[in-house]
Amino acid sequence: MPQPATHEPGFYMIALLIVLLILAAAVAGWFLYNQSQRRGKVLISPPERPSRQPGTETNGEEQP
Amino acid sequence: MSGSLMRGNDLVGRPVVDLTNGEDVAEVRDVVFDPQGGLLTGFTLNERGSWTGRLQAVLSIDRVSSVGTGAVLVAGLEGLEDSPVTDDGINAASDANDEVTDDLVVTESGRTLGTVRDVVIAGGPSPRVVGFEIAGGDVGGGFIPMSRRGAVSASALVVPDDYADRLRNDLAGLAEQLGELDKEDS
Repeated sequence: MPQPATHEPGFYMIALLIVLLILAAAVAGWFLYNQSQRRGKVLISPPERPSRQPGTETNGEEQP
Repeated sequence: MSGSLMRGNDLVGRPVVDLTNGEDVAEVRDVVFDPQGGLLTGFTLNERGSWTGRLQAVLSIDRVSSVGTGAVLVAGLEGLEDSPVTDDGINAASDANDEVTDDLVVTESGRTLGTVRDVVIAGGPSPRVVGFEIAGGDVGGGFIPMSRRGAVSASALVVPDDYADRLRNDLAGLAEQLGELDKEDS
């Protein structure tokens, strides 16, 4: 009766190593992305725009 | 001018400490300042720790007790993570991402002095930007006071013509120049 085909023991080791490398790359990529999101800067406040309320646009006359 | 002088980028990453319980509730992400006068308007925040993310809450300057070289002190920010405090001005600055670094520094007559590397902040209860660290120009690198009458935008910083002579190599020299300017204005 023919024996079922099996992989060499080294195959599973290599497969596990590849999975671990992919996981490590994913974690490193996430860490680098997170660090880029956390990086702070010195920013200038944008100038305040005059607030526009509905119904205030008139032909110059004041609303009662 | 009151308070210690510090670089703006040195303030990034500093802990925000609650005076009521001594806990560091967050850390500074962005430093936002008003170009008209240089007053700090507030900060955006990160959670403490390298593996954590950004906080939705922002810290308006009116909730800050003092800004020091080692930390930003606040009084009472319970539940900062649970109930985000928003501020339209600070959020708008963060969204617009108008960074002052790499702004061109020019005199009123059009001479280019260099580009901005960092801001210099005078700490204390009313922190404000009082100067800039510049580099890359024909006058060399150094620290220059923020002009009381000049203009600051997201692309350029305008200073009076005589400010080219006020460039100094360190913060102590800048402090001396700021003292002289205070005397001239008084």
